[in-house]
Amino acid sequence: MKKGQVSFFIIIGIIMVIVIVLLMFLSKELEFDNVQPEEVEPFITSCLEQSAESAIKYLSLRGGILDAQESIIVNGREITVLRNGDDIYVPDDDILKSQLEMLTENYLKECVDIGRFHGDITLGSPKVIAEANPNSIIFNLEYPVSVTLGEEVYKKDKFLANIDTRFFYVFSEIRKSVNMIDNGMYNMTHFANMDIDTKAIDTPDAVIFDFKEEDMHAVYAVR
Amino acid sequence: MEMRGKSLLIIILCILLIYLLPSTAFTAGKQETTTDFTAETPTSWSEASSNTDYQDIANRVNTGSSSIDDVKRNVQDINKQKEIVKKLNTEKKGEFFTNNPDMHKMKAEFSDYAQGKFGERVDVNEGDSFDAATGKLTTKDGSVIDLNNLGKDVQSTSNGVAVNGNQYQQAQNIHGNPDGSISADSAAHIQAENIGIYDATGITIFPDGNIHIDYANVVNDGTTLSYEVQNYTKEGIIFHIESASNVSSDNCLYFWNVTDTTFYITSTNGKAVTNNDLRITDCDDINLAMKPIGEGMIDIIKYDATYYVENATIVINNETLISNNTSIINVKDGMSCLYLEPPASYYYGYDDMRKDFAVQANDQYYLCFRKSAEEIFPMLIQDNRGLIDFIDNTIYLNGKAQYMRYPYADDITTLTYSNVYEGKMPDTKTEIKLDNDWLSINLMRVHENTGITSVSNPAEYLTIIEESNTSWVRLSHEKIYSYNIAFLYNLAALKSNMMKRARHEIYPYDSNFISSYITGIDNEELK
Repeated sequence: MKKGQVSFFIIIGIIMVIVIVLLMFLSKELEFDNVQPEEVEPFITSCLEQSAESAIKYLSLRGGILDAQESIIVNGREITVLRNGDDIYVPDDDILKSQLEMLTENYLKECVDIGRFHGDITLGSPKVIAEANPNSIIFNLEYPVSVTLGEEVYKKDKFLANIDTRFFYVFSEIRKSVNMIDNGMYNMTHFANMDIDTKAIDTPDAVIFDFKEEDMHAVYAVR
Repeated sequence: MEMRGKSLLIIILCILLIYLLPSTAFTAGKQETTTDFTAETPTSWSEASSNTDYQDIANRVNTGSSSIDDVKRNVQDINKQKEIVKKLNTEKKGEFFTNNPDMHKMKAEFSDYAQGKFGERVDVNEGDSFDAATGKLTTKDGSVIDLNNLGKDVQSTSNGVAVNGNQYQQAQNIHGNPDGSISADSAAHIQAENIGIYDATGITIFPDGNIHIDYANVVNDGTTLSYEVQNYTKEGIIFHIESASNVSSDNCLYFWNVTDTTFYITSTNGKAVTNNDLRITDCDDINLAMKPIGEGMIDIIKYDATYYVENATIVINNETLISNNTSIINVKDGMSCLYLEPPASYYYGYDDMRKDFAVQANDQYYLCFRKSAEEIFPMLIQDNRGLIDFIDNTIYLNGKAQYMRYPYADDITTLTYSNVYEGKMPDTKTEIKLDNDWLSINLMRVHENTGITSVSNPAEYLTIIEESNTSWVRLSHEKIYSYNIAFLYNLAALKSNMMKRARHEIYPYDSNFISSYITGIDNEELK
């Protein structure tokens, strides 16, 4: 190999290293540019909405109970049995709210990635307060956020998301129907008069009930 | 003179002969054996002692209480009686009374003899014979009557013998019993009051008219003919049979293959009580089978097409009634109407058991069947009434009755009837409409009023309880769904075993459906 050829390959290698380092630097700069301080509020609000919807979906699929005392396994899926000791049990609105708030906070923490913000960022602890309405839930988030970028300082600590859902209405209907159930016997006339799509599915262990409302499935078992 | 001397000698010899003959017969007389009437004379005192007729005389001689003259006199008396018998035997049969003017006297003498000997009025007849040693009278037809201890009037007739008014023909060993009854070992024919017994063995007629027969080819009591009868016992107006090939009445009502059955049969009724199966043909030529539940009873009103049944299963063609209590069956082209005291169930069986159904009465219930278009039944407005309408493929059940079917799925039919509908109140009214094949239930309509009025299983896994216009549902985890479902139940529709009423759906346990459902909600969560 000639001397000139060796020099050529060395130069090409150096150029490739420089280009790679440059691309990495530029990509980081581009990302930061996408989340500017003034975009913090819509970003966190969007996270709050996603987290709230996930919380509603997660909790309703578990019959409104996160730490079920009793459950059945059907095709590998755990279905919550609405039971507390010997009594059939459906959590009340306050418990549902507190569980939704906790779930939403957890989802929110996963959603908000402070590393994505440009500048100095400080975040407090998120605190979600859910407010139940007949056709919606308002999620109030207290989440102190401070972003300093150069001279600019951005601060925000309250966020709000209004989720259209009849979550609490569905659970109030579940509560009414479950209160009628004794040893698996339920009131078909009552179910038939509901304005919710409902299913009763027989299994060897229990009857699974499914209340479907928009994208929400409230699923639980009674035995 | 010589003639006079000879005559005198002959007279003296005759006197001697007359005087000596009995004693000769007594002391050395040879024992006469007769084929018919037999007068056995003992050949010695020892033999006399063993003969009942002479026992008393022998005893008196042995004890010295009688002189030899007394003995002779008594023996003469006895022999006089036996002479009568002897005469009977030596006369040509058939001409005994007809040709001999003294036979009437002889008959009277024998009657007196029998009266004295046996305490019985005995009228013998031509061709009869008597064995004094055994006390047995054999009449011309071959009947043998033991006059010892009979204690009844005996009258020989031209074709048999009448004992205490009952006619016997070719009867063997007619004899009396300590209880006053009269038995015969066998007889070709016995005609007692209102009953004729033919070719029988072991017949006993009791003083009260009751009768027992070990076996008879035929027993005819005036209203009933029993054939090939084993152990027939008549007590008053009922009779019991251990076995018989058949028992019939008026040539129209037949009980076949009878085993251990008690009958009460009159001009209007035919009643049988038994623990054993009976086959019956009634006066309308309807064949039925009776299978008792424990001790069962059937009482057939012969010309009214009506049966009263207690604790028995009655089968007529493909219809079965199981009555654990009292039921009344009207028949016309099979069962026509039933009056049922619970527990009682009606079953209808097809060749295809998927179509079989049953109606069970849980209260006093009146159930009728419409089997021809001409039949018109009044509106079912009364409580506890039902109509199975085979013409319009509809079952109407008012009140406390159950409709049951065999559940089936995948061509497998269970062998246990399952509830499809049960009325809980007398005034609950239900209409069940079936398809033309009676395979599927197109519609179940329940008219409930107040309280728990009915329990329905329109699909095997599904129980619906109607209460105050509200349907309560229970899903049975153990039972699989079946195909013989009701497609419509009040306001609910069932399709592929899924029941839907408004926006509510009910699914049976089905592994395929469960699998797809769980996959669906798993995917829902991942969105």
